[in-house]
Amino acid sequence: MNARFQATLVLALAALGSLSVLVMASPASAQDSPISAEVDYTQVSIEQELTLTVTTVGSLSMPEPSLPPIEWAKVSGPTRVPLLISVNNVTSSQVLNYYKLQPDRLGVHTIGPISAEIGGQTYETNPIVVEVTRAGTGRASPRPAPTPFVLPDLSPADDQDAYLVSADVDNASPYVGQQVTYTFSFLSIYGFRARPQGYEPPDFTGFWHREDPFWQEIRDIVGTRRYRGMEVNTLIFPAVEGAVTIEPATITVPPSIFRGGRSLETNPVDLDVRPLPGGEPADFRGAVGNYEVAARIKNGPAAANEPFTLSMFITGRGNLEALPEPELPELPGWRSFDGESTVDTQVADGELRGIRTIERVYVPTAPGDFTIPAIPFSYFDPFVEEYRTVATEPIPLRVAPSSGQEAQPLMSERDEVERLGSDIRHIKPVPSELRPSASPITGDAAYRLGWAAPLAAIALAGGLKLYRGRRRDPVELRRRAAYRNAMQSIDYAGGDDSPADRAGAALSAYLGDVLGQSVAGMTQAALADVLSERGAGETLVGRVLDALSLTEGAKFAPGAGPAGDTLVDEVRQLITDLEQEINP
Amino acid sequence: MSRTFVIPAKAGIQSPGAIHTALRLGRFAFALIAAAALAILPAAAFAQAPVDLEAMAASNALYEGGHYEQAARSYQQLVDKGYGDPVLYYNLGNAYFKDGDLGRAILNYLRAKRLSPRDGDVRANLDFARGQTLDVLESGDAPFVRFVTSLLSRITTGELGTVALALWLLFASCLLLVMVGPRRWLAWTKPAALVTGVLLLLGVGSLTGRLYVDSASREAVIVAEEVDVVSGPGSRYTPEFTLHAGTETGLVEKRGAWARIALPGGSLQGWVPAASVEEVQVSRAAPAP
Repeated sequence: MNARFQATLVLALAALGSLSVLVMASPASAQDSPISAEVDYTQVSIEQELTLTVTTVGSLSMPEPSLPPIEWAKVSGPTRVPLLISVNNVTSSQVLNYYKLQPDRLGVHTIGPISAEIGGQTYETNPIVVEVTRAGTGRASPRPAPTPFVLPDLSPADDQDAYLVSADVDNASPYVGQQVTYTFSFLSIYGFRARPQGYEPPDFTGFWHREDPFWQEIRDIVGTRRYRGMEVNTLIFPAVEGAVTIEPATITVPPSIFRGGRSLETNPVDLDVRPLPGGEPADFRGAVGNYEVAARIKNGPAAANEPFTLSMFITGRGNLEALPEPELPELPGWRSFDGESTVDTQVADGELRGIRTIERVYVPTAPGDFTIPAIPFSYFDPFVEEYRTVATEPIPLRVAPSSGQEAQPLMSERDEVERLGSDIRHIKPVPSELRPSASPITGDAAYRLGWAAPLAAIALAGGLKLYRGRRRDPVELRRRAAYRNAMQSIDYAGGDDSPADRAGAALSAYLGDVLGQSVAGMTQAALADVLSERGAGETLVGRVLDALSLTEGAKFAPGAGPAGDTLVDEVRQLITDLEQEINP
Repeated sequence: MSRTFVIPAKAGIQSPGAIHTALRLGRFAFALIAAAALAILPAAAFAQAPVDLEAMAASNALYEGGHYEQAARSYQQLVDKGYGDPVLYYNLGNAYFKDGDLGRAILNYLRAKRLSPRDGDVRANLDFARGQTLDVLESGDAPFVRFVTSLLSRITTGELGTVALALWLLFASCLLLVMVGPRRWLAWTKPAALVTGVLLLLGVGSLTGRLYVDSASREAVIVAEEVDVVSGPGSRYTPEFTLHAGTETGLVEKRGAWARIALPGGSLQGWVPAASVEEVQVSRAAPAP
């Protein structure tokens, strides 16, 4: 070990110590943190897209993570996928946030810490380094699970058994069109540090193969040595029969300061591709796998001469991307046009699965009831080694009469905005509160009170107005207060008037109030008539006239008549009797 | 002999306190109206369970993830708990639509439209879904009736009721001012009472019409993929015609496991299994805590 190497080693150990301190001081380490992030590739060419996955553990309604500025790529997303995971009856929630990154700048870039507030605390992920290379230079390299820091490689510089590579397939004698998984394995005693970027897959001549292989980390022990590495799986589908050889794959380990670079090559892989057996159905067009079919009508039809779209869906396992399409039916007298064909696939449990949609546009030319017949689809199922035919359900169709317009051309000749498809509008976000289901407002008690209360107020005001009207009639008011005022006058103890005077004045005032006219100046005969008209009996009229005479006599000739108190009592009784007879 | 009596003069009784009494009573009447107006406001905000909002968010996430069937189930659970939010019905309709259940999609769009009739998204999706139904039906109403129905369909019953009540409160206030207010106010209180009275008649007329329509016509939607309409409440009766998912119809009555429906115009009617048709008007229940 020379001096320069010793110095390098010392520097490396010092750097390791510093980094370890930083890692331990971090409030949220990668393992304990409820947030983690990873990318599917750490090296991409500039025309490629990479996916950043941020996983948050906690509630399903957690807010989106906060991304640092990423100026070297266009970021779209996130697409949020909630997951409920139940282990031993304990359920936990996590949300996967998928971001698409389309690089637009070359070089080595760093995605800074991604933060999220979970349970009132802010957590951060570790930075992620991504290298963007020129277009067509090298293949993208998958990235392992986040590994924040890498131990420096202190192994001897050269070791013939330091690397192991191999290639294999999961089925060496598949049928034509059947899925085969080609697996490339790379193992190294240097672990991740030695993981090379230079994997070159074979050409797969004679096969259709999927462009984006999936990979996984692997570990192995060979003899007494521990190896770590990766396994790259590529889905391939034989296109020719007979003996086919997959050429070796190569991998280049770049040189480092501790050892030189190396290029490694796998073994070739031989396959014996079997032809499909005979006895295929008449409509068989070469589909291999396991499929289901369905059909549906889109956009109508509302009337004759108006276009509508028939969509056929093929779902299942197999090479949907290169699937021979079935022929959609022609209907007599109808015009039809080829529509769009789309495919959406994914790898699940090591198998290529997905959905293929085939569309055809029809224009019915006459109204009436029609039926789109069942559409058969035949395929060879390699799992049971026999042909199968599935079919869509017939679709009954009622075409209304035309609105009088000719069929519109499907392709506009003018430069107008072209509608490529139509769909329902998207769902709405969660409102701030959910309204409960409620009865109509008209059934609400408070609502009815709202109608009743003003009614009561109006009735009250009406009564008040009536009351005020009566209070404004002085004759009526005097009549109603006549008895009370008379009694008060009789009983009044103050003043210089004698009791007989007060009794006479009270009786006169009472009569005036009750009769509505003053009796001053009225003759006895006139008074008797008025009293009789008001219902007073003859005896009572006589008593009134006598009382007036007596009180008047007592005023002008004291002592000639009965005693004052007797006269007062008589007048009081007289007024009481009058009140009962003429002013009840 | 005639005698003349001398009566002492006596002043007539005046009532200076009567005006004050009237004003006091007037103030009491206005207070009564104000209390009634306040009473119709929500007495207390509905206590929103955060877990239900979270469930709504999870349902939206399921939809965004393409899990339409699970999303529909999740939304439906909230509806079953007693929630009747137009956004909930709209999203539920979308989930059913994406899941291929056209009948229940239209059903829930109609429910959302009843609660939020001027929502453009609801109307657009309802029109889009209607365009995919197989049965073409003509409305039997006259053009004027269709116009008025269309106009009124943009206002909810609750909104009509609130407007009518507000007009009634205004009219009652004007009337009270005419009755017990100062005479100098009559110059404007009388015309105001007249105008609000006319508006009140219009409002009450519209509300009465809406309540009559709501109670007399029961909207329903065919939710079965396909159903034969038979002449009586039983499978032994004669099939008369066939309807498909999403067809809007009127529900006349329910008898056991069968429902009698009538298509617009009333010329076509018959019986279908009750499970194949659902009424747009939901039965109401308060959300469970």
